[in-house]
Amino acid sequence: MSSRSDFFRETFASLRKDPLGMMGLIIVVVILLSAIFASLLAPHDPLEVDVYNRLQDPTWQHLLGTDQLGRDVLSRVLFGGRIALKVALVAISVSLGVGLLLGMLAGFGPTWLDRLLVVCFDTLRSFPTIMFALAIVALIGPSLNTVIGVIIITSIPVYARIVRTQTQALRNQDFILAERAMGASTARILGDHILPNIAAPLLILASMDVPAVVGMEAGLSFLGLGVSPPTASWGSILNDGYSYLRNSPWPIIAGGIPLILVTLGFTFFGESLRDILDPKLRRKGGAS
Amino acid sequence: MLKFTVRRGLLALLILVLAVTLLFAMIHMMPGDPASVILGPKASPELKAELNQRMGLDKPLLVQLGSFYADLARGDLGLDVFSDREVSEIVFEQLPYTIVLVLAAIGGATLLGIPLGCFSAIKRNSLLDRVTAVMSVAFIAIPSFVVALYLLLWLAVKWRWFPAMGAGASGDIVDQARHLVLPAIALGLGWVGYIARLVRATMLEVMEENHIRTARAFGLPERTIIVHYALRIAILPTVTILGLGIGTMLSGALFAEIVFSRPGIGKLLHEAVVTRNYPVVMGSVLVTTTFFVLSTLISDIINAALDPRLRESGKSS
Amino acid sequence: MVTKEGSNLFQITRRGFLQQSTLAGLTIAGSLPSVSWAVRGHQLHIRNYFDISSLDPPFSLSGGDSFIQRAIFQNLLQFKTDGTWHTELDAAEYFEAIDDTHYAFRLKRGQMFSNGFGEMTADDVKFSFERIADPDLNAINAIDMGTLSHVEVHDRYSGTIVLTSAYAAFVPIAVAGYGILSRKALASVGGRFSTQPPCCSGPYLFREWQAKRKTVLERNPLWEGPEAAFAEIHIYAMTDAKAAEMAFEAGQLDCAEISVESVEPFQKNLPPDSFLEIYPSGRNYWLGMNQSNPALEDLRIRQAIQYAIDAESVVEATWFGLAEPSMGPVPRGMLGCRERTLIPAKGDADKARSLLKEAGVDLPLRLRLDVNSDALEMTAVQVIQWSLKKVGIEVDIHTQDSGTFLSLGQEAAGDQWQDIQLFFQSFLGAADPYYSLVWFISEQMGLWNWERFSNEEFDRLNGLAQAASDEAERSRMYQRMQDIMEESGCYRFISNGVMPQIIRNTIKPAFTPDGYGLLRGFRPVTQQS
Repeated sequence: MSSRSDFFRETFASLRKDPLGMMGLIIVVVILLSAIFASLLAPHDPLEVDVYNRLQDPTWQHLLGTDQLGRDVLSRVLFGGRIALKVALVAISVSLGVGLLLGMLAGFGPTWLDRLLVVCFDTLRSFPTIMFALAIVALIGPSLNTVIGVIIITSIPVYARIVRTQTQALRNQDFILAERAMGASTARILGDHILPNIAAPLLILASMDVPAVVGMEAGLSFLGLGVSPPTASWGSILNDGYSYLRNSPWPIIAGGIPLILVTLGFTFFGESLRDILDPKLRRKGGAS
Repeated sequence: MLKFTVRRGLLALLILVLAVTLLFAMIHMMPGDPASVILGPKASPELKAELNQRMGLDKPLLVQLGSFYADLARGDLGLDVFSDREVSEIVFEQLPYTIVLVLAAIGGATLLGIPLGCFSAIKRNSLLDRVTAVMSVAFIAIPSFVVALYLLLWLAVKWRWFPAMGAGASGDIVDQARHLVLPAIALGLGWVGYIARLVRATMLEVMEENHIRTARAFGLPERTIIVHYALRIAILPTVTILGLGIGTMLSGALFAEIVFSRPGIGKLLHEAVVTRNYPVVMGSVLVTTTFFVLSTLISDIINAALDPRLRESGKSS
Repeated sequence: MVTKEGSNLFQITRRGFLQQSTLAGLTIAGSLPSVSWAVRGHQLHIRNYFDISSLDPPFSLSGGDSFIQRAIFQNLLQFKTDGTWHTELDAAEYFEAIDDTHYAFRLKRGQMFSNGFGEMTADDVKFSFERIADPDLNAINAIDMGTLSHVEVHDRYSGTIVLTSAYAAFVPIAVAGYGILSRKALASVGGRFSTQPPCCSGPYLFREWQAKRKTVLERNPLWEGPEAAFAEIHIYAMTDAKAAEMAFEAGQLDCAEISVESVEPFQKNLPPDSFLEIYPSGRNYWLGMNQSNPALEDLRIRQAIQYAIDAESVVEATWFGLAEPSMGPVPRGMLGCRERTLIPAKGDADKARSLLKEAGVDLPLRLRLDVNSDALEMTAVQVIQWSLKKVGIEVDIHTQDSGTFLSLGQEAAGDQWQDIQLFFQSFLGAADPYYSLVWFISEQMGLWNWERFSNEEFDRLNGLAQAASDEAERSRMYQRMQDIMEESGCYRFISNGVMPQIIRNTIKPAFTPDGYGLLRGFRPVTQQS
């Protein structure tokens, strides 16, 4: 136990030395907090329509102006963070979980299974993502859950492939062979030995994946395929803003900023984390 | 090597077939049909049935899929539901716009990315290196449509430095080039960072290698070393990545085409899905998926040619 | 030019209307402004909303197609360029209703088809009308021909059109709506065509079509008259209003419809040498309710929804204050337009709440609302959602792509018509109120009557008005029909919208009352100020 908390303290100390990483962490924390406490922070109800005050420039009443229905843009942006949070949490955890399972199966299991899974992964990855999203959305209807589903389906192959490669690399290592010789079951080997060794890189990958996932939801909502009106997602704010670009630039400015912040924050933080953990991992990888 | 190429090629074909079949199934399961869209309020059930019959939509799915592949073998992608034109004609009419955009984006990204990466490697940890590092990360991560929207807002609508939409007057190269700038930047910005980082990393590795040290020991000027030895090798992984990039960019171009109202296959696809124009959807998807699969295939082959370890089965890409 | 309110009501008897057309035909020749060709290369560059689907009258899908057809074909009668639905003689020098089912016509002499297909004769008129109604051709526009039976040819230039029964909309919709083509020309292309007309006889000839880009027309050298005012017309197919606005600012277009939200920015920053005009529109927007759905079976619930919706704020938000709440499907300026609605435009939230209470509904009531994914309609629908929320109804908005949306209420597409509850519908009317209301008859259930509205009086009046000859009587009937629609609780009429246009100072445009351009009425403006 103490080695774990030591580990965290060491990691955090290293992180503090990297200004970009710290900045990333701060941004991530700010975004998370603003999303969680959106209802406290938002000055207005994000759904409140005020038709006669539409498309206004920023005022003290509306710090980021109003959209085409007179709704407060700042409040909508804050609540949009909740959507982004939900999408990231659900999509990444599910695709990570399923990808982990399938990847380990492919990497550790019989060759025929591996071949079959690889073909499935590659087929899914060969789709232009947007096309896939368009087709699924038209089948089921645009909704946030559909978008999350599409993201999951297109992300699983990516995680699975990486897990598979790592698993294959580990599978022939001495300590694994030793365990097998001793009669350990597959599940045990996978759970106790392989999993811990791929956990760290996977988690780093997941955190770097957040911007991509949030960006995908925003993109699909921008195309009108995501959240239904009147829900505010950063993508739908941008979509509305695009239609009324010449009347007021503020919805676009306001909708783009959180996306940029999320991508910068998670990427800087993730990269920094990887730089810190990597040399450590190399040290840990052989032993166990 | 040949064995690998053939095997990889067959796999690519299999994937292509599976992907297209899957898409075919999905499109046909979508609610709504072209007849309602084309015929509008005047459509009686009889007229719609007649239109469906004319388009072959009333036959069982397997039969439709079969005839699709049969026609495909002959190079016939079917007829556009609304205008009765050949789908192949429509798709190949729009494809050049997307290809030009993708090439411009990649070209720009490469022109900027390679020198940046190169200088970063040479002047390690300098200010330039650090700034490039930060910006690369930033650019890679930001969604391209956000970049596109901001470019549109500031450079096109507010300051009017560049046109806000379209592809430019046909036949007027300068005008078309102007129309390419913003969409290409939006599409290619992420790649500048990616290429710069890749070149930097590869160069750093290469510069440590023995034959470079030997060249240095022999007194060859640094510049020659960089250009003639290091850079040449460092470019190779970049080339393979670019192969991949062309494939992915074709679908990424959709956003740039929509935000800047450019003609292109991304826009064509989006429109066709919305109007349930099945033949055009199938045709465009076929073309884009083929490009993607081909580009992955080629980059895998190049990679394998360079690194024999990758030729063993299952370890491609 | 034309104000928001539209022009005089179409209140003359049918015979009188025809006479007026004849007189108007004579005066056209007299009052020509002296034209000076100040326009760039004598060309007109104009936007069309849709690309051509088919220029062949039996198969054209209205809107973008008729826009071009009116310039290249001649009809027996054409709409005047004065912004009303009045017609004037075009190919005919004489057109008269003999009685309810017979119309006599006589063609002008010497009207030549292009491409060497010779003079227009009465046989061509017979051919053109009959083929649209011909069951073998399976034309989508066959129903517009109504009760057409056949055309009798008396001699080279004259004949009589015979209907099986009275059909009041025949002249505005069929006669003024469809062009005359040469029998020989159609035979030479196998009986039908799509984008390349084999023959034209109008002020302009079809020259070429670039798919998804533009159509080019050129002046018909054989045309004697002011309607061919330009040497060339370039028609750009642009479904995207923003693209059209940019093209206008860049100087590439001389006339374009712009989106409603762009009116204000344009007013603040008008491009040089241009002017902005807000024209009325013939579109019809309403919120429909599926009364066969269990949640909406109770009339009081539907009425509550009608009262809850504040049409004034919907219109303010959606059309930026440029449009007005409508009187019903029949727009202002057309025969049969009502003078008031039964439910006030502003609605009445308190009344809505009390109706819901009376109906004993558990609040919040959750309903589903389907809408086309069009920015304008989505804005309207979100305001509706907000108004309904205030009375305790929670609405889930389902946006559909146009392909899915259009098949929602259709029985042929499956069982989904049972599940729809609220939906935001729109369609474009035509030159006669018959076309605005025929989609709501009982027969249309499962087709375009998604509300499953069925009223025996409504159906009966529809039949009578279709055949009536007295305009005042028709008007009364159409007004009563709209009252019945509102009483059923299935409809909350929103607006007819507007068509804002931006136009160069060098052009004098002409539009029909539904906001579509009449190319033969466009003129370059004289140079002297």
